[in-house]
Amino acid sequence: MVMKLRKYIDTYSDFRFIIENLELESSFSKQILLEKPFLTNKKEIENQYYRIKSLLNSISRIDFLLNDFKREKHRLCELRDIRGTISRLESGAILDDIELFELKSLALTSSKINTLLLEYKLDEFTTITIDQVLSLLDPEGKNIGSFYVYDSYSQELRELRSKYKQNPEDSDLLDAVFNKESEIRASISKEISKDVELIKEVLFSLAELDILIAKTLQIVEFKLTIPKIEDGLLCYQNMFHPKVEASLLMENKQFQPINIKLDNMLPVLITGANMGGKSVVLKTLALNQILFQFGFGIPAESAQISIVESIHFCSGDDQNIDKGLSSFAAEILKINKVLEEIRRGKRILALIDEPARTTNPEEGTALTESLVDMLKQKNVLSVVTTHYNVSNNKCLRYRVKGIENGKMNYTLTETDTHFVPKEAINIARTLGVDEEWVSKTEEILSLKQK
Amino acid sequence: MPFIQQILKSDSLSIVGLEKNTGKTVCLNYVLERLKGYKVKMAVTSIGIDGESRDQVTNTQKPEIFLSENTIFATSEKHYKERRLISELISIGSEMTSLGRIVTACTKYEGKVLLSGPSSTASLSRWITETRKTTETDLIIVDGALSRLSLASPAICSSMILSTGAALSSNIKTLVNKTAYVVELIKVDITKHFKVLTSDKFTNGIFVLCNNEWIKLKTESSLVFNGDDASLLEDCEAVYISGALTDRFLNLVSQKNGTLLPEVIVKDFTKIFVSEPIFRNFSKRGGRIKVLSKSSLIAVCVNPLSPAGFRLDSDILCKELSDKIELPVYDIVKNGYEA
Repeated sequence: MVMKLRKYIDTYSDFRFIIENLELESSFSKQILLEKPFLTNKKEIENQYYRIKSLLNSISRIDFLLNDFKREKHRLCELRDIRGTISRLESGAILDDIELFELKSLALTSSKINTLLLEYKLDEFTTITIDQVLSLLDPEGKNIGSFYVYDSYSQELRELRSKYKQNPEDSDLLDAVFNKESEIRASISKEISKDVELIKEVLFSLAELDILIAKTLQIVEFKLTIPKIEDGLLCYQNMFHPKVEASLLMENKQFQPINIKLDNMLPVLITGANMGGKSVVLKTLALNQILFQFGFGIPAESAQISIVESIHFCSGDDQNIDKGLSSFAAEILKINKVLEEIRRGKRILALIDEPARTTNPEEGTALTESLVDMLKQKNVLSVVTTHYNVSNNKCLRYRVKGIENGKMNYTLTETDTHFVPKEAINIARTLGVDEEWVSKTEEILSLKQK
Repeated sequence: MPFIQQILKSDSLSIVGLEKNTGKTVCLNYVLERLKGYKVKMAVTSIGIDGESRDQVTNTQKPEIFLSENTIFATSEKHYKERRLISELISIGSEMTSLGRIVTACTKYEGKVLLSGPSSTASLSRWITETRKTTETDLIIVDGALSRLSLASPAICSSMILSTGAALSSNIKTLVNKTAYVVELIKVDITKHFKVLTSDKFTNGIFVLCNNEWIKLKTESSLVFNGDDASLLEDCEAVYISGALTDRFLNLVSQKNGTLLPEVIVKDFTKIFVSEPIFRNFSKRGGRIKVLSKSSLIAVCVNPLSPAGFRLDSDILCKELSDKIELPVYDIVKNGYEA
């Protein structure tokens, strides 16, 4: 089953933030976007990025006119979902004024957008036009969006109407006018229905254009990058999470960009102090993978990304009270799903946040250690975070630098020791919790060490 | 000819009926007919669809509006398709109502149409802005049902005509008093805090002004107010309620404050759901109700004929009401005012 984009919006990754900040002009385009499939075909992803890249190049050429272009692309907001009208046209129905108006509006929008694209020398993005439909619905060549059955369609109609104007009380005359109008609508509908395939194509290609422009402008606005497609490798230089960055900015803080590299040879194990941003790393990796497989710009300075068939994010926070599962049980079952997928030989990205953290440290450590062992599979890209001393050599270790001079340093560094940093007490103290509790804890620890 | 000059001075007008069958449509048709001679480009719509469903229940036909040539109007898709009028479709709105989207069109020839326009204040206000922008309209006329069910408020129009009549009460005295009370509410003044309160922060909820600072109460609506925040109400200078102002809430406000009653602010007079005795009691103790927006009431029209079939004495009704509210009152049908 192919997963649709809408399924990913409200996941751990905060993909919603990206979608909400995508400046689509038409709500129809958004509907189309939400139905986009999770791409796993290299050609398709390449094609998406190829289009974005060439639009990006063309846009940077019109740099100083970019704001004008942004304003003028607003014409796309006229794009409406007229699939209902189109299917009525296909079934040979006689369209009413409202439906003919919608078709005229589509034809007019497509013609205006193409003019705009040519004006900005964006020729390669123009779509086909349906000028024949437009001229049929705009017999007087007024080039405005409004519509009614114009006098110029028929001399008979013109005469009937002018007679009616003299005798506005004559309801038989009005009926005659309406009958003539219906006749004309029938013949227009018949004529237009010949072009129904073209009309469909115009509708969808304008939605695609809206999506393409929005994605491209988002790259400029959020300083995103276009990734390289690699096999079995994830490598990010200065990656960031746009939503976390935005909320930090609100507090006048800066997001510290992350460098991370992993491949399908070794699982990655991240250790580090609490509040060190381990979960943010996982969240960002998840977001970037989703963005990549739907052909969006990637929040990083540079990115090399491998295609996977599914993304798994497991965190101990999940509780499933409905099913009567504790947080531990829910988590273990979720991780088990990952192992099932691995056994089926699927290419996956597994992001596992502090596995077994809600149980006793002895068993928890063992569970984590064996899990890391099992993640070492050729189709699997995996990142696990933990506070346990996992003495497993078959993994790549990263450590969050942690507190330096009283400030948190979020930088990830490669490390070879399996001893986890012990900063819980320091952090508790900086948070200003009860001093007696902290000092008693220290006492207990020093007793144990003796 | 009465009150047409005043209408010409304003850019938007709502015609509001206190009850069904008070002659609102007659009044609207009268205004449209009289304005014909003045070369004013008009855009006409109606608010609320609740009236529609009620018509379907009681099986009475909603009266049609007669529009002259080259008049802009907005109605639902359903009613546009049923029109007996030759008109040019100008735009289709994106919001859905139970009768389809709202379409805006321009009459090519004079004729009759059923109006059923935007159903919320926000969409009405959007329609007005959009119509002003895209068509060269001088005057917007809103057929405004003052139904408690309607979500759209006619108070966003700068002027207003109120229609009342025997359908509201068969007793002249009751009718006069009921109408006078609504007129009093329509005339409630705009608060001096209106600039602050029209910002986005105050869209939803109840807010109190304490020591020059607006604080939002935990309770969202006066309907569910349970006294949790009562202490804040105790010594505030003003209260703003984005939703409905009820008897219960006004009583709470008056109880909590021994001596100095706070100013109670609502969006507009349609949000005041306070019964007359409680309103009087509140005012008597020095309390004031204020609004964020108001329309200037141009005139009151009466329909002395009730749907049940009896007729009140038009002259007495007009005179008594006019004396009480100090505004001109007209029986348009009887007097058949001419231009």
